[in-house]
Amino acid sequence: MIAYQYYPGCSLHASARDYDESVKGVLGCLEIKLEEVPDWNCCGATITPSLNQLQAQILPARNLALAAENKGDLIVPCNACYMSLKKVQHNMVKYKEIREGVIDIFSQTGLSLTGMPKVRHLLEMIMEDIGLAKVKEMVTKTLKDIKIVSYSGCQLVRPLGFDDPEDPQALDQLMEALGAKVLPFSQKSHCCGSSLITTQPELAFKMVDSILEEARKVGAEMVVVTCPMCQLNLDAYQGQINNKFNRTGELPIIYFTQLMGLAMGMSKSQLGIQRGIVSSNKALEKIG
Amino acid sequence: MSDHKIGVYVCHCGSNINGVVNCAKVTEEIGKLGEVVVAKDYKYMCSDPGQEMIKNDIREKGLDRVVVAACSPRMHEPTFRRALEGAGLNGYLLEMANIREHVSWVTKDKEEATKKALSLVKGAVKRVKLHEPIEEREVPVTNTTLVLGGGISGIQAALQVAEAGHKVYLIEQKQYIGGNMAKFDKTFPTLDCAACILTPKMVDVGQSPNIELYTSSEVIKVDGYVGNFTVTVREKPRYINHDKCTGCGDCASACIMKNRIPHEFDEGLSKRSAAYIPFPQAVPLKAVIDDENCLLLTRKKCTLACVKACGAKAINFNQHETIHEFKVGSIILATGFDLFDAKRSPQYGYGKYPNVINGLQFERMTNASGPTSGHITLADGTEPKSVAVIHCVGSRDENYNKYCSRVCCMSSVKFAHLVKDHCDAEVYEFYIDMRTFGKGYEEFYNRVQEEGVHFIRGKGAEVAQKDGRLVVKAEDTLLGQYREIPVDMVILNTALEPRVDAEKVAQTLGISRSGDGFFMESHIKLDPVTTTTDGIYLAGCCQSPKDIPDSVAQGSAAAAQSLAIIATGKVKISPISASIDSEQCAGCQICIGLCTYRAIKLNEETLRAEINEAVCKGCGTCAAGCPSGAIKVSHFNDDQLLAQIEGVLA
Repeated sequence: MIAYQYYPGCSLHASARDYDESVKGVLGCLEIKLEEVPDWNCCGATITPSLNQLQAQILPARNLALAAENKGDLIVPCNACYMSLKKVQHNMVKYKEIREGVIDIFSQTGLSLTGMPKVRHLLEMIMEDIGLAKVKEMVTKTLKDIKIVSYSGCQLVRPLGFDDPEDPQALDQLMEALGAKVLPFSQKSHCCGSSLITTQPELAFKMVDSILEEARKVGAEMVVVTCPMCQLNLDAYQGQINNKFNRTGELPIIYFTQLMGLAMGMSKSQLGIQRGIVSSNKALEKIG
Repeated sequence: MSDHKIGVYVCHCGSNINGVVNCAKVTEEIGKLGEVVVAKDYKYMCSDPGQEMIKNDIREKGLDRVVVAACSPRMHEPTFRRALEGAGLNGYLLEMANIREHVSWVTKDKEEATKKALSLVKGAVKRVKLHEPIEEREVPVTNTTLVLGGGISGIQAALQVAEAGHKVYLIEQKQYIGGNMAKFDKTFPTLDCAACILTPKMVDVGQSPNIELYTSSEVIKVDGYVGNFTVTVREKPRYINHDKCTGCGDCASACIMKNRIPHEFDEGLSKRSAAYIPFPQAVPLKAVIDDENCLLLTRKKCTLACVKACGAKAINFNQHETIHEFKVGSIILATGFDLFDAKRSPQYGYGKYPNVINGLQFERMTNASGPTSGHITLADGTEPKSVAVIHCVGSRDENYNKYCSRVCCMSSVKFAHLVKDHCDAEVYEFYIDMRTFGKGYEEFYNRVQEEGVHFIRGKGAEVAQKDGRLVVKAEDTLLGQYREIPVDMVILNTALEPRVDAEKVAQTLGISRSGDGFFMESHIKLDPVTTTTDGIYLAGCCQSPKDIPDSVAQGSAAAAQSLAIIATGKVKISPISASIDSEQCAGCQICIGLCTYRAIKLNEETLRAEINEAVCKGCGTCAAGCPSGAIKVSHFNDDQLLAQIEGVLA
């Protein structure tokens, strides 16, 4: 059994419990052990860098320092956490001032920076370590051509992510391996507006609408996501946005791990599927 | 112990060196060494008075060794060697200490810089004592030239050498000459028709008694050295007897694959047969049979309609490839460029939306003999009402190529003009910076601005499809606003890239490539035409992206280099070379693999390695790699190098 360290991030303990449940369910089936980083803290997301640069480095750096004390790659299911952690890692290697600033503050708290774990997104780990062949082998209930668009979001692929930043392929390939029908979608790595949904809703609503509208136009029955922030924006605000732009047709926003779980024979409740605000019952009828 | 008389000359190079290194102090300190008879510093040692000073000291003080502490020896070693020779001393009794590139330009701390400069000069003094006089060698040259690549720069070079009365072998990979320029309709900034100015040159190539043209051919091997190359060329079969073919095109009309194969010359915008004439002005104007699509050649099954249609009986399916060997004095490389594949930037929808095209496709569209007979049309055959041109696709982009492709701003402006001229659509140019630097270029840009073209300063970020139209998204940095502009057609002006086989060509010819992948010149400013291999010259886009005027100029410059070799009748060969002590050589052949210049061969009888001194560049790689220490490099032997190290560390 391969062991990994797990950094769930705040969302997966709160608004994205469904993601957390499905991650643990699916990896359990795949006999992969996740060891949660002890005493982890918020990554600072996209908000802290606009308030305090040093603090924005310290928050993720502390998580890296804690993870460095144990073995195994650090697996991150959230795009925003993934990018925050990778960015700080990059900054500490590249910029002496940042590295020294972090070490200075750490020294006041008794933390040391002995090494840094390899930070990987959950999707990256599934594609690279488990592989599509193994995933296909585990499928007991194919998704029967359920029509989806895969929406990787922006922070999974840039600036330091994996996969093609303009036309990501991994999520498409994984969904095809589960038997889903992946539709062409030009906004795979467009931004969902992230936290602007609370500070500048006018702007973020436009961004989310553009994503949902293309998904509807190409005939998607659901939008598959890899990030709790994207999921929240596309799901929880969908009613408001549809009203504002006069759109009809609800689109369930589902985590890729939830579809993996279904294909591997797990039940909807094991995967937290009932927790979505836009119901996916109708879209999932096909596969029973 | 020293019985040498050494003069040391420290150059200020204006403030280049003296601004950081205390030259007076270096001079004073070095003068204290016993064997240094004279030490002087001077503002510009390479100037006439500077050189005179050295010569006078040699004559008056009887110097027998000279150290010049100045710039890189790449620049002025020949200058100072000549100065020594002018005063009757062998040029190789000179040693240069590079205190500019290696010290003043890379060190900020003045004291550290002065210390380092002094160390380097001390090393040079220790080394120069062990220098020995060396005589330069001359070898006769073959007065023929090989030009590789039949685009505009290769044509220019070939014609100039031929007009001077010397034989040229022009080798072209495609079945015709003319290169990319032959695909254009109009050329900037004067809007001459490309065919009108290129076709006469192509015809001249075909008719010149001094040019032997080999199309469908590639160089597979190059042996020898400057003045005496042996080049092996593989000519692929065309399955057409050139002597009989009249270029009538009857075979193309008869071919059962007619209108089924995307036509490369039209950038895929039209379909051709398997037997075809590449384009109406092609030189040579002979049919070609495409062995990848011909049914007889691929499946051995065909009605042979082409053979029946050919009145001249020119089709011969029994042709085989031919290997030619040419003896030439110099080689001009003019292999051109590849266009960046816009599919690599999926955000622009190339290959996905039929009305997103690249620059060369637009060129074909506007060409009177092109796929639309010169009409600008959308995929449905109608005229566009608005067109966007996106600059810098694949250029000035960290993800693909950092460099500027140089021609795209001007060709984009030309595209805008042609759209206005042909169909009066609205044109939107999305640019990062406008770079219209050539003669008459800015004026042309002004003219097109006045024609009512919209110039939007901001790189096109994305092309999407909305309500049946294309939409270009961009940040307009002059307005400070995000814009979405609906258009009917998008032209992606893509980067000029090194050819896909550039590495293979570089290896075959033994030349280098720069970081951007283009072939590397000897000096980016002062020697942009020669390569680091003597006798191999560069012309056109294989060295860096260029427009037509610059490609032609470099073609002429390369021809001048070849003619200079022919005119002198002999070439000087650097006397610095490696030699093998055959007593010590174990025949392990490690050196043969290490030699970039292919100067080492195994003597099949003695089973010892042998160095061809004419080919050897004296780089020393073999000497460093030889496990038995059997190889020595003159002017860079172990004793000299150890003495230099000792001096630097003292």
